[in-house]
Amino acid sequence: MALPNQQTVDYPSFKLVIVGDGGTGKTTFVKRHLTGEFEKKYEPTIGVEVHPLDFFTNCGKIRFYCWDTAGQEKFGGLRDGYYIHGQCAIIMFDVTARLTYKNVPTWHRDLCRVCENIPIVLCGNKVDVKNRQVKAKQVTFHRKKNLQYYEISAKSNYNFEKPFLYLARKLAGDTNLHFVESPALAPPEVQIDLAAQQQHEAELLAAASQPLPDDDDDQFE
Amino acid sequence: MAMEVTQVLLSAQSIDGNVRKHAEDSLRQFQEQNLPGFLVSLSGELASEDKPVDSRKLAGLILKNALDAKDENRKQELVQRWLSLDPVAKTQVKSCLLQTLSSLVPDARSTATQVIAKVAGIELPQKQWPELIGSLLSNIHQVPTHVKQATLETLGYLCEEVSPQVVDQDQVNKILTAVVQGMNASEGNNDVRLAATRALYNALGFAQANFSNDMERDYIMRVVCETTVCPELKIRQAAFECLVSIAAMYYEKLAPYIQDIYNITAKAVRVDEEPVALQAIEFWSTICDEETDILEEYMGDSNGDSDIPCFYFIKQALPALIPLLLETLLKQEEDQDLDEGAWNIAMAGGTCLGLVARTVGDDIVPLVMPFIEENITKPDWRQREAASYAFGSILEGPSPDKLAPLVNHALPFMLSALVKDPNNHVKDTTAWTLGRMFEFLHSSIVGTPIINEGNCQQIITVLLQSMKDVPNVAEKACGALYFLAQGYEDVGPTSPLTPLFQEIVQSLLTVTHREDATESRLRTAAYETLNEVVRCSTDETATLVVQLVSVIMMELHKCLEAQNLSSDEREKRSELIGLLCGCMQVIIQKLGSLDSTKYVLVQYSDQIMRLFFRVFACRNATAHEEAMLAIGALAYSIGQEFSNYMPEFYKFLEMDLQNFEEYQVCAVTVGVIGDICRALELKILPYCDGIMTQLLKNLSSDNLHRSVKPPLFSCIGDIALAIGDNFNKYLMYAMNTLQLAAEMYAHTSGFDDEMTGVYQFFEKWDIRGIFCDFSRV
Repeated sequence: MALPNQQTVDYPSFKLVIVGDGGTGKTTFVKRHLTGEFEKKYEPTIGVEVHPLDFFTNCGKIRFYCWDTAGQEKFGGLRDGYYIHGQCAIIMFDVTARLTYKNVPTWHRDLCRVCENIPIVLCGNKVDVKNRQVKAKQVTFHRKKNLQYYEISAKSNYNFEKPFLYLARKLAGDTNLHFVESPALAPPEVQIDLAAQQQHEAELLAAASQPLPDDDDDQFE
Repeated sequence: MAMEVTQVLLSAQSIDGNVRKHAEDSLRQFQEQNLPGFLVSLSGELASEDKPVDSRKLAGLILKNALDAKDENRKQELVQRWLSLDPVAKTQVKSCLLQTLSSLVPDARSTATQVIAKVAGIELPQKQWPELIGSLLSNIHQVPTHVKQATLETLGYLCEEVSPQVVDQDQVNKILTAVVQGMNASEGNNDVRLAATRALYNALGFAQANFSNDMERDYIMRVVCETTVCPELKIRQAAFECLVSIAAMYYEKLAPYIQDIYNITAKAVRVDEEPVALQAIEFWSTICDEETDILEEYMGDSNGDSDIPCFYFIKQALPALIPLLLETLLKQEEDQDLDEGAWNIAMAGGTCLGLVARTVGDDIVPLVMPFIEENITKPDWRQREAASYAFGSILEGPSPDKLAPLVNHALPFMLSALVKDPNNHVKDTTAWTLGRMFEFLHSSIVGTPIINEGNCQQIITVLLQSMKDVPNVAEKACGALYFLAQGYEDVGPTSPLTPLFQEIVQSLLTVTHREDATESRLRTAAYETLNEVVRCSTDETATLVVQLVSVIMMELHKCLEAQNLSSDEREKRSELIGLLCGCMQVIIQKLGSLDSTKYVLVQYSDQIMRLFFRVFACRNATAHEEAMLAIGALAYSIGQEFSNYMPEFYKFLEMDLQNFEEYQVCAVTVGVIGDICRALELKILPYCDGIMTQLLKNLSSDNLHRSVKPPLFSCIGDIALAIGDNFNKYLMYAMNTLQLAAEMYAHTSGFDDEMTGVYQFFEKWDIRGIFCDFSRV
């Protein structure tokens, strides 16, 4: 299951692409899963940020590499170039900003032309804000494309694991897959492996920073 | 001119952010320093068969993105750059693109198709690249099927990018002929058929003239319908997606084909795999959407005329369509009730059934009721759940007169099932259906009340019992109670809920304390229901609402006192604080609206404001927003008394007005200032310098979300009303800002929300007064 150019872990991992207009809450959604923190200040994502997200399931551990892409075009970097080898995707819009929903078909089109036939979740974010402009009844795009649709809130806990669970089930081909609590303490062998990996990476960095041998060095001997 | 870019393209796809950034910087530098070389290099990479597929694909996408943007201004800029490019470079790029259509690597071909369409979108309107379409059409007769597949894909994208007016109708016809022939069963290769079917989907908008020609339309429709029975799943699904799109785009042309389409969709729904069946159902949902829009436009137009006539396809299909949809309701997935976002054939069927009800009204009822009556008592839970779901789905659309007797008849059974059915899914749907009954049929305007003295007590008892069930069922029961309370909103001085008010409130508070209240959004539902019960209550229960103030304040106090929370617990606490502040707002508004209880707010206002100041210290945007709204309600209720809190409250007002990042909080704060102006009137004067300075700064700021601008104008109007002549010192600044806004309006096409605020300002400030005072300045 490992992809070319990707880090390898010894459990299944998938590239998850997250797209949608700027300010719809994509980065907040990812970071909430990473740190549990809700970030209030809006800082546009530049290009893409890749975050590994691990989940524990009844079938073992899995990882999503979340490619959190820029929603604002001026910060878009490679734009749909980041979608290559995407294995699943989330399209996010803001239920309080009608324009972000109107742009969903464009995000979906761009996504499908790079990643054919991958499971996709449509997410309507910020459902705890009162003045929503896209009523639940008005959300129909998922019907046109056989997408799963969830209303979520990165602020509260509303439905925030559902998109990942849906995608995990699709990718595993197991409708009975479910998330379980992560172990309070990592098993010792995992800890050891991580320490060894960190040391190995440190050694690589140290080696890389050394100047290369030069013929001129001989002159000093 | 070409440069080696393979390695940098591969690095640009690295998971390592540093590697990726370095590669992106190199690419950007190359593009800025040598655009022709950049584009030629990318197209060369895409076309090179010995390069890795990943670098080829990214090269193509970057090339495409160098020609296209979502932002219209940016797009025009890129278009001009391409048009100004060295012709030799352009020729080389285009040559590489066409060459890549023959590549054996599917990803390279599909990327080239996108880029060719973008170039065509730029050049064809300029009468450039005249040989492109002819060249593509000649590819169709090539022997290699992979070239044919790529060419059809290109034609589909090209039709999407280019307006049909730009292309000779003769070539339009040839394109469509090629596409439709590619879909034909006589085409043996599935990849070609799939590409052709998707190409038609993209080309439907391009085919306006052809859909207006009877013979050509007949041919297209025949091939689309035949493709829906292709053995290959993806092709069938793509064909149905074409039908759905045709339903939306060419509704008025469908009459000759509707019977055949029914037969095709019915078979797909009954026996095909889910992705195809979903699109078959979607065809009818789309027809409902179209007909509802037409009928609403017909009703709304004073001339009783609509651009498009309604063909009443749904009414015609009703006797055959309803049994089909009801069958789908029996195909539930296990645990579907635990996933409120579930989208599968049962949910699609129910959604379509609801749309049909809205479209045809009463006519649906006699066709659905037998299914409900037959299945509601069956041993198989699927049949009971389907019956309940069907009932809930048809409650919007038919007239209350038609539905009320049926609901009255079914209500006792539904209530019994809600607490006694052994299956949670059935209870979940039953609670949802009860909520729909109350939402659409229970209000003071319904002639035959479904809730009366005889059954009100029983209904309440059952709902309160159901709120002890598993979270997803309890949440639906709260929703039902919400609509039940809402139905009594205009009941007058006496409400049937009055004797039950205390029990209801106590039960809802108990729900909010459940260990599992954070599941299925149950706690939120309970508080929202509590708010609605209070909001719709009558004066008779005012003394109980007074008692509720103490209860909610105590809850808020305990919440604020909680210590040593994990980050997850902190989030839950903030959410709860927001809910409690929302509840306080409703209570304050209720008590403030009655002369007999307004004094209570004055008594409690010190405690209330201290709690809200502590909420502000939590630094949570949603809780902050809710507290601000509650303070606005309090200010409105206690009037001049609120001036006691202004010295401390002003600090938060000022901070929030400067909070551009959380613009929703800023917008709420602006609204609250209006409330306070109305409450304090002249007593707001000491704070006006600071407030007006910030309001005017906000108006001129580019960093503040535009949705906040209209409320700012309205707020300035409120201040002017409150302080009267004292507003003179700000008039010059306000007039300058209004003038700038009016000038912007002159340059804006169409009406803009922003101007609403300007009109509101003039409405509030007597125009003669403005000019009279202005002349004095």
